[in-house]
Amino acid sequence: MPPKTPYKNRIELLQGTLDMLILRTLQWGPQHGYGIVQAMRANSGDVLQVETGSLYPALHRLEKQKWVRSEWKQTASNQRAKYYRITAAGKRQLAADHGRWQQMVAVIAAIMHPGAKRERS
Amino acid sequence: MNLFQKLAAMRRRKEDLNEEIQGHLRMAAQDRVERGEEPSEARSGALREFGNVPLIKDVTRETWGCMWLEWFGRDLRYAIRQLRKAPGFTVTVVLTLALVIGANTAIFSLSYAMLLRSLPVMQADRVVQIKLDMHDKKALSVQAVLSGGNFVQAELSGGIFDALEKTQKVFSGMCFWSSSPLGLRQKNGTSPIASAEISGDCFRMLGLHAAMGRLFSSSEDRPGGGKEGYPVVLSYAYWVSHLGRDPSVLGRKLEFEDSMTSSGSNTAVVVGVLEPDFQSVEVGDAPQIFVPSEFRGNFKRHNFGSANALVFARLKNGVSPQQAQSQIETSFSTWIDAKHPDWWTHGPYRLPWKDQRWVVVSARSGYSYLGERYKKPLAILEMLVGLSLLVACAYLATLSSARSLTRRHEFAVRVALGASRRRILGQICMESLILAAMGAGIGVLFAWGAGPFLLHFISPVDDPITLNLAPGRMVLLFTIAVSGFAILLFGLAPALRASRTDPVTDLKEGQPSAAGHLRRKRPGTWLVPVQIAFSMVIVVSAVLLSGSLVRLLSQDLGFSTQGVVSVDADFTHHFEANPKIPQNWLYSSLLERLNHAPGVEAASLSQSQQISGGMYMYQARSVLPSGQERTDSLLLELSVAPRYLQALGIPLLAGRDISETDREHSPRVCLLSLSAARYFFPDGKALGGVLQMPDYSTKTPKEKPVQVVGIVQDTKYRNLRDQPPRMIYLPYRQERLLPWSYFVVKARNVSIAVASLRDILRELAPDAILYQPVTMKQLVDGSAGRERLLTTLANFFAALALLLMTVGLYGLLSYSVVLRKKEIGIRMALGASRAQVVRMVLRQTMWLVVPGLLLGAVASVAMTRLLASLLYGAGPLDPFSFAVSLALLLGAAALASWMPARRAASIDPMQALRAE
Repeated sequence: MPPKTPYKNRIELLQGTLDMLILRTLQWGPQHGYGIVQAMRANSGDVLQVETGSLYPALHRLEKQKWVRSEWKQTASNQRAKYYRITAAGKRQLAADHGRWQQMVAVIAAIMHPGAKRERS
Repeated sequence: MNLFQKLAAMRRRKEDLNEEIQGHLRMAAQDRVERGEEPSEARSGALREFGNVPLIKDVTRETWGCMWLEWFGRDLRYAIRQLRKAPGFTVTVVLTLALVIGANTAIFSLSYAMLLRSLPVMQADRVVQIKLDMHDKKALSVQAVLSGGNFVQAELSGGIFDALEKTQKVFSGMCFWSSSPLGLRQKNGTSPIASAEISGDCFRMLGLHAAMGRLFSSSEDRPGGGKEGYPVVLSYAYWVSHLGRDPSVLGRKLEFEDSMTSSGSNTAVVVGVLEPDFQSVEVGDAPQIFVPSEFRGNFKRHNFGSANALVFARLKNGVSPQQAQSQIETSFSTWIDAKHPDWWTHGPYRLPWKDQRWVVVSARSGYSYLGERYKKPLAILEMLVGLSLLVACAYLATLSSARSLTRRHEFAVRVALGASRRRILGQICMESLILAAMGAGIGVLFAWGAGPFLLHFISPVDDPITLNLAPGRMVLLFTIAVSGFAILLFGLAPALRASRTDPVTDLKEGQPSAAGHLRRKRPGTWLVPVQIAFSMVIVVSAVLLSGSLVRLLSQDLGFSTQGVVSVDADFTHHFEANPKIPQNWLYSSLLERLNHAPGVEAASLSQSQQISGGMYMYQARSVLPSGQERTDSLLLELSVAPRYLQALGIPLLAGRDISETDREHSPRVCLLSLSAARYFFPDGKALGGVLQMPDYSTKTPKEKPVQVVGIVQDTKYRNLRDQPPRMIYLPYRQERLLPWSYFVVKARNVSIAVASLRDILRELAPDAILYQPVTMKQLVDGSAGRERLLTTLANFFAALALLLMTVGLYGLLSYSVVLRKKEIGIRMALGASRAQVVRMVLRQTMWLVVPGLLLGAVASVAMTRLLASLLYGAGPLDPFSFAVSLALLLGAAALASWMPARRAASIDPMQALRAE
């Protein structure tokens, strides 16, 4: 058994997947940085804790690529927050990322389970 | 978007990001509170979860891609703060840089203006100048004598210009350009005005435009001018300075005092003002007015003999200067052989055309007589200022290395806190950049201010040089390049030293503790010998040049310069207007009155000036009793009035002076200079001897006997360098004088004498033009202008180099005494005497100075060879000058080591050791 590490309930994200996850999260509607963290944690069953040190640079990078747009709005609890909204270009990017991701999952699965029958979803 | 908008946008984005993150933290804390945590715990919990806020801000901002701007701003602020904390260092560096960068800029802008700057004309690279490559084996002209027969003549005569223009097929336009003053009649009398007589096509050929009114063209360059008479175009500078930009000047009639206008007119009408950028085709020349070349009349414009104009042309498309040269070579030869086979005759001699060659050269920068004359001094000055820059950089490198050594601790702390080497390097480079930028800024101002000072040196007394030395684009580019070079030199050492910071050892050693291993950290030990070597080259050059200048000016000229003034007067118009007045009668009555004027000790008249004046050559022949003949076909002749010797203080060695009784019909007499007397009469019986000279007063020249009545001291004539030439003085009344003369007056008060001369002239010859009076002292000093400029600047740079060397050495030694305090303390505790400590410091000095001097001596031997042609009375390896330089440098080194040595000797061993 591998030794216990303090990070056992965390998953190291693969390079480039954070952008995809952010875009996917934003597909459900505009959200602010804190909201994105919360949404990801909830959707991953409290396993995935996005580092804010990666989240904000990623958000700003996505905005620079024009895959998301930002605007200042009031939250439900009446706080001013910066909301990010996915753009049409962002949706296209998400589709492309998603496709590549699935391909990679399939490839990795094939290597990890060499005898298993390939499934296509 | 400019930089400020960019910075403002950046600031807004930063505030945005801050608010975004604060919002995140508030929401996270609120959630925690809702889950039941204490508000203060919730806040810190949220912060803990969030992570390192400033770091996250930083990495987020990095995605914006303008971090360099932020870094730049931060480095800039930091560097300014650091420099303000060390005002002494900052001021020293900035002033040193300002001086050397300023000096480099000033000398470069002078060289640039004299040699490199393009004429502000249309397609300047297609403009060529046409000169003659003369081969004058029989040495008929003064230039030929001075150059040994072969010389390139830039001035051509109007007749030759006409022939060239008629026969050429390679130029799209030609320009005849003759600069000389005209006498302009004004309310308060006639005064000379700098003017250019130019052929009508000049303006079109050069592609110049009028700032106001119009320019003139070929149709007006004919006898009588255009419909309104002769047109005149004013220079922009003259229009501004003398006419206050008066727009009503167009159509104004100008009247000139010039009888040579055989066209019968001496008035011209102002038709326009020339564009401001253009000054002249000749560098340093600044005509105030431009008139058509025909204005001076047919003879002066079209004769073959008097070469007094520059000739320029524009090449047709596709024609190279070489092609143009060969084309005019053939076509001109054909023409001249047919029309003017005797193109240049002088007495019995004839200069064959087939030996002469045309030269067609690019005139992109115009014609620069100044440039030709100053090429060498400028090269030397460039060398001196370049060396000064190196000396200053070596000094500054030592200085800033020492400074970065004292800041070792600070760098170590910053490296330990995570600053990258690159960032530390960047910060140090930023400091160098700020220092250099400030130095360069002040330096450019300094160079600008030095411009008139430099011009003052090279301007002849009576002919000021006008050069625009305002820093233009090229000069500023040069300054930036020099500053960049300086940064590289003085900023590199400290930057590299800082980047080698080792936080562990550097933090541990708050202060140097032990002695031995710290020696390697003495800053820039190799820089000092290099600095000394460069300083030595500068000092040796300065000493050599100073010695030459002193010898040049203190030598016996053969005449005295004390209280002697020379005034050039032009009587052309006066005699023209009063043909009945005999010239000699006027001269003798003028002199009679002048000699009795108050304060005048002696007044006389001569045909030329002793220094820098024209040269008149005569042929003379003596027949010795043995029957042997001695001939000199180039005997320098000066027609003078009585008392000339007295006025100039030339000693009469034997016989008598010329007197008023040596008149037109009395027996012909002359005075000989000592060397002439010895040449013509080697038997020593010159006095009373007879010379046979051609008599030009009759139509057919024949020889006439002239008796030697006096022998006078040899004098310098053309310049201060040449050996005194053989001279003959003839009485002016027995010669046919040209209608202009120099009055030479010796007086107790020169300005009163000149005022008397003006009064007398106003009475007897009101139409004469009197030029600016010049004292002999000014003439002599002015003729050494090149040497004076070089020497003054060389001395300035030598003083600067010595100062920097002394201060640099002093700093280094003081620092090393501080570093070795404990070592010295131990030595003294173990029994070293104070004298031994002093010797130790001096030994250390010698280790720096002696290699520097050796290196410097070698460099000096190599470099001073450049000076050879500008030295006088001593060679470039003059041992005395080398000894003086060596003494100066050693003296400076001794001065620099005296204080540190004393400080070392006064160290109290108890104290030094207790501090450990």
